[in-house]
Amino acid sequence: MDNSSPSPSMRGPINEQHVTLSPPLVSTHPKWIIFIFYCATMAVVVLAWTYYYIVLALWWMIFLLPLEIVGLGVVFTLTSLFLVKIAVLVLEKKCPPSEGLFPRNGKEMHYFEARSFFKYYAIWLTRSSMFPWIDKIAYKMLGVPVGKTVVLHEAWVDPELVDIGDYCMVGMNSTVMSHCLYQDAFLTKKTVIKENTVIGAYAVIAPGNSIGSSSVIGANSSTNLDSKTEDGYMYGGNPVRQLKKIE
Amino acid sequence: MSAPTALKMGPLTNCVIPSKKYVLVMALGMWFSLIPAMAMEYFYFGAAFNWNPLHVVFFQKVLDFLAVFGSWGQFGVWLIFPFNLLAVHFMNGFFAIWVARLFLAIETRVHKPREGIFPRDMKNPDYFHWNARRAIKKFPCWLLGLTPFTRMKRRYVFNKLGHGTIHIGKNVGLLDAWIDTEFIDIGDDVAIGRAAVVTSHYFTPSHLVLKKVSIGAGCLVGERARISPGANLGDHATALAKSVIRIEEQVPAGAIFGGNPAQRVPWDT
Repeated sequence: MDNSSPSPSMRGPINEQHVTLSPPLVSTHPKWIIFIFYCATMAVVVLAWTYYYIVLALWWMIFLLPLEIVGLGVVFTLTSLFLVKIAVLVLEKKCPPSEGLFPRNGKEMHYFEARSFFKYYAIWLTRSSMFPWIDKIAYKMLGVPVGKTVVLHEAWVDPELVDIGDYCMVGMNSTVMSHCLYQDAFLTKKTVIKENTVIGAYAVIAPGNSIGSSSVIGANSSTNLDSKTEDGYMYGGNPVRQLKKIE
Repeated sequence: MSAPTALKMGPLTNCVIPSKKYVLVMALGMWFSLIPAMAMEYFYFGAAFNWNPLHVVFFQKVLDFLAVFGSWGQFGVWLIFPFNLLAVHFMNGFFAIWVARLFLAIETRVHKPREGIFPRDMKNPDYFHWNARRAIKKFPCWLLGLTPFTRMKRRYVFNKLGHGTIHIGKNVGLLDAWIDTEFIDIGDDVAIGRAAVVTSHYFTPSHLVLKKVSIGAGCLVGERARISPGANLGDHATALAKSVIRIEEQVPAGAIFGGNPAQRVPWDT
């Protein structure tokens, strides 16, 4: 990996809460995402025609129509997910996701945006389906280790460099970030959420955090960059501070 | 999408007076914007299922050509089915914007949008037409917020629906932020974070206030930040995550503001 580009100029300490968290900015590969859409739709078309000819032969198969409709959705989502995975693998081969401080609009940021562009599509698809909680499949497939019985689908979790333990709940419209834009810098850092943690609604977890197991991050609170929280405590505020121990 | 499935981010188009008239406006917008897409579908499925009820010359030629392949003729039409879906969506969105623009042209002819302080009263023309404009914009905004491709057309949507009162620069990332569709000026290369709220209107118990927001070139607006009406961010200024920029706050160029209410951070020289 090429880290030879000059390190970005900074004002102020980076360990305080002054990050600007931002979604990826640009649509990098519109043609490829349309290709993925094409392939997924063709899979659906083939399945639908197959079903049509089966119904022509066996009339009672029409009673499986509801199953067929759900099946079309599942096939569309899984095909898209599979192709997005291939695209992400190709991009990761060119420039693997790594932690560090990079110049804004540099190579790392460009490839981050490209990967996010594909991942965003896959996660959007799973979440707008009738079972939005299957987005965990997308997250697991695209490189975020998600434990069992985790609730994510009402929040935004960055689709790389995040590690989520078992039985976690991430509240409504809260965000778990592993990247941010700051002045002229683009920063990525691994965020770890250990098991049994509850993150409240509208909370912001900044990059580089380590959230302890069996702890609570209160609603509408936010964490600093690189902060750590202890196991078994309740946290709240902006930025978070320890409130009390959970029995 | 990054929004919870219950909430859809996008251009902010709430209107305050719930009225049956607005349903009529939205229904009219849907009606007119769906006609071109429906017409296209009619011909497409005509070819796909061999109906061809209108005996259109062009499609008859297509069908004659496909008949060379025997019963596989339909197969050729189905090969372009995904593009048909995309075309329907984009045509619907495009015509929704332009129908809304047509309505807005009439609306602004009746009453020109302007900044100021207006009483919250249906009899006040400014208040009434502010609501009406928002009702007109609602359908295209909702429609284009439905796809994962929104970031391709966001700038186009804002600039077209603003009807002269809005300017969005190039290379602006405002995916997943709530941004008003009037009296906004955003420069080039601005990044606006997730769930940030940029509005040019606010309410007091008795009044509606409309004030222009301007965000200079190269600004960073953080995650979940709030840019209040009348605020003015200079070029390359930064509003940190979760900061609240107050009403009519003047942020100098290059400054870094944070907190609630936002102040210049102490370490920013």
